[in-house]
Amino acid sequence: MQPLPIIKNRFLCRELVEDDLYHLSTFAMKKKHLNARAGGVLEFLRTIDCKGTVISQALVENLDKNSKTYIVIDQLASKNDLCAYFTLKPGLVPFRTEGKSFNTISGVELVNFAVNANYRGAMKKKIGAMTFSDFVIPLVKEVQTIVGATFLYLYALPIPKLIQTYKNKYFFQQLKRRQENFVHSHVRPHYDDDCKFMYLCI
Amino acid sequence: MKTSFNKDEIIKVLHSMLATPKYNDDLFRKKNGLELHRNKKETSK
Repeated sequence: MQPLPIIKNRFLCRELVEDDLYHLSTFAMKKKHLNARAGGVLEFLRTIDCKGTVISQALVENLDKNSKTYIVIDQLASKNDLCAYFTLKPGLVPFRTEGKSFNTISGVELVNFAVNANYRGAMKKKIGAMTFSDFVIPLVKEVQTIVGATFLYLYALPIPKLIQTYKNKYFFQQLKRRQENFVHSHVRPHYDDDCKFMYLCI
Repeated sequence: MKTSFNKDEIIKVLHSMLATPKYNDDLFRKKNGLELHRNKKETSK
């Protein structure tokens, strides 16, 4: 099994824990992303109430084991060392077989994936790709080894540029409309309204 | 759950989904301007 934390060069990836709460307030997203309905991605990681208390749904889900959120830390950064975060969750992709019957294909859902806009350290522009290649994929492959998983999949916000990035740079695929509608009508969570189902064979 | 399967249909759907290329780390790293791993062994502790 892949031991945690995973360390690649100066970057470390580990599960989000309670001691990280104070750390999360340094995590930010670009305004243009927040305007584009990506605020939920930030809110999942942390919200700050009127008293300044940090609340993290990601941490709650880690403790409940409903999903697992990981943070990526630049060990050499003097401040704002939190580079990125992502959340993984096991899931199923249904597909129609005959009549109203369906079968399922197993996968891992990349529920959330974001880089910290406040991070100024090494590889700033490539931190997303590095996180994906060095940490997301190895963890998903580990899951695949233990319980089987054919795909890594996500529900991308319906932002053309974002979908193109997932397609062209991350090599995610989209289903044919009929199949996508079927997936949406069976398993798409309501918080992913209008989002596009995308998958990557692993 | 009780289902009746049309194996041909299942195979068709699976084939179309699985026919897409699998994640290729070298290709991904090249596309995104990341250094290629010289040693496939992962550094971890």
